[in-house]
Amino acid sequence: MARDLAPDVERLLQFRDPNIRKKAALCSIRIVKKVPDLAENFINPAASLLKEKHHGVLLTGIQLCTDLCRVSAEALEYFRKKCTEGLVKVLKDVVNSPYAPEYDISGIADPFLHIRLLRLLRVLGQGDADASDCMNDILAQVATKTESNKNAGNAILYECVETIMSIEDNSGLRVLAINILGRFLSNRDNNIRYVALNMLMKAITVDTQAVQRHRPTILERVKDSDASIRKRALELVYLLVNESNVKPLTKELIEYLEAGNYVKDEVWHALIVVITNASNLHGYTVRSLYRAVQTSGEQVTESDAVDVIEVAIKHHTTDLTTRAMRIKDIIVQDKGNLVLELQQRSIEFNSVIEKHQNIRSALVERMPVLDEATYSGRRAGSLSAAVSTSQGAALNLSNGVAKAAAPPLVDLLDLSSDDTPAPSSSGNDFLQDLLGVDLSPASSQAGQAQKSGTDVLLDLLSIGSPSAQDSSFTPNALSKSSQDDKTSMGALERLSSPSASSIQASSPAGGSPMMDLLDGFASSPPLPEANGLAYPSVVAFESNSLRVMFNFSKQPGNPRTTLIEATFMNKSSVVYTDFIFQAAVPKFLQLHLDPASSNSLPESGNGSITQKLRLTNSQHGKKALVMRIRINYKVNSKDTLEEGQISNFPRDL
Amino acid sequence: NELAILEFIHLLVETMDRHFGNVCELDIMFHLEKAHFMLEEMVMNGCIVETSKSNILAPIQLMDKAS
Repeated sequence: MARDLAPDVERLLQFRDPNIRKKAALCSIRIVKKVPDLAENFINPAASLLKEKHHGVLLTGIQLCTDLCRVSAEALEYFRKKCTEGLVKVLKDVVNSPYAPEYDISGIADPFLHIRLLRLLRVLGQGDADASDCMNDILAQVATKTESNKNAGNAILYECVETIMSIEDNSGLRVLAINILGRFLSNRDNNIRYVALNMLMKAITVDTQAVQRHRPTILERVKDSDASIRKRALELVYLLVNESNVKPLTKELIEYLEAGNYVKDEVWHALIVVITNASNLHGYTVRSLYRAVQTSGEQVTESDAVDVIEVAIKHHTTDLTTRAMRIKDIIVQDKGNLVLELQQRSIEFNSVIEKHQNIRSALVERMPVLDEATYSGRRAGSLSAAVSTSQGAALNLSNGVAKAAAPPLVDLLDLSSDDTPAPSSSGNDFLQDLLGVDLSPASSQAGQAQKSGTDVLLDLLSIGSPSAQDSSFTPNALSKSSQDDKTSMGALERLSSPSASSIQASSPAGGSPMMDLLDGFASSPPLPEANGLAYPSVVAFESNSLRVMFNFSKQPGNPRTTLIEATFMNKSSVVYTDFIFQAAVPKFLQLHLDPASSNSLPESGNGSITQKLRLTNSQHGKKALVMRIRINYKVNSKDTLEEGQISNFPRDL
Repeated sequence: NELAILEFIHLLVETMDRHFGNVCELDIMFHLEKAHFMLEEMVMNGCIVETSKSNILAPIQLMDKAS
């Protein structure tokens, strides 16, 4: 059909009515796209369209020419030779034209026409020096004259910059263009900043020097409030890194690492690759990162330390590297995985192949990860002592790196033994308060466990869910964005979900107890060692004034129902009266409360109230128990209310 | 050119404003075909063809007069 209609359309291109001409031009664009052979027929009429007065027709004519040039090289040549000056003249007219009410947009006459013309000039000028020469003046004029306080002006400037970038080398104009981009970067409008950063990324391949001059502005953008701007600024900085400026840049970036949460891991990884490529900075970066790890304990820095170590250590086995890359690509925030990787690498150094297989299968399928991870963790634990020495030997690269790398490695693996006596960060304290766990039993267990924090990590994994939940309790201290995914699921209003799904699930749950562990070096699992009692009693809820303990038992032959005996103890020195305990459970649980033993709770633990609860879990084995509790009591005739959520039920209830 | 698209959206809204007088969603709802007509005048085949408000509104006003 296109072929049949082509001659008619061609004729219409010269019709009287401008509207018809406009539509005919558009039609020809369509035809040319569909049947590129017919393009030659349209070249001549298209050229005549370029001399139109009517803006609408002019616009479509230009579009037709652009498409023709794209479609056929012959057309490109033709236009280059004949029409460039004409186009330049048209542009000049449009730029210099007086105020035209019809086409005026915020002070500029027909910016769309400007932009379209510039685009055509770009196509014509690409790769051709002569055409580019013609355009230089007009481009410079547009670039300098257009006012940039309005968006229309900015749009024109942007197009102009893009054109300048694409046409043949003219350094003066280039500098001008990049200055314009720099000005954009300081603009208050986020859109413009975004666009400028994008453009700068493209410009950097052409001319790095000029962009370097804008480095401080770009660094400022890295701290912008908008996430996508931050991301682009970061990529730009990564591109900007070269030998001379890498030191101050990395210092900035490392500071930023502590604050940055939104950037994808791939960018970080690439960044770190660049940093470590500047080998003289290996020692410096690793040391400063290690310092950052110690002081802040931020999760992001943690993984970065791991990354740096990984790169610095220079894997012997390529498949390990590719898998590390692949895993990074697949799982963005799988920190637990990273730590296992580290162990795995340590094992690699000792080149025990069968263990490698074990862990590989464990990493690939996450469901049975617990058993195998425990196994490999235990093996890793026994080997980790040997690891630090062998690592030191294996690292012939640079001593600075070796020394710096070994302590973080050992630190990561030996968490509990160093830190049980006193938790180092406030996040840890908060966690403790919430869990109400005394540190001493934990430390003795950890002492028994002997060593690699891996075992404790893995115990946390197996009892994993409760701490995952508690960590979502402490949003400011510990949780990261991964928590948000978890909160969306679940039966209870706010926090209940993760326990069930996180057991099965996988990376987030596996990650978050690790996260808790790594962040606060919290070696205190919420429950005592799971392989101790079948159903240990737990401190369900603890506040400054009250402690609630739950003792569990099950009726034989009825695994779905759990009998809980709740014991309430008063921690303050005032007696509580009118003590009422209420509880709510998600839909898959049924709760039955027996009356409490009494209504008044003597002070300072002189006595306690007990109350029996019966919980039936219709999803026994699939979902763990969770409960929200509310306690009302009177202190000196003043009503007090305490609420909380209990999620540290033993997993197999 | 992203900024140009921004300009275009602005132009579209202004044109509709000129036609309907202080346009709001109700206007668009009740006169959806007119809104579509306007858009069609302005954009065709993926590119911006008309940017002059009078040119865009002329055929639409003709249509209104004829009906």
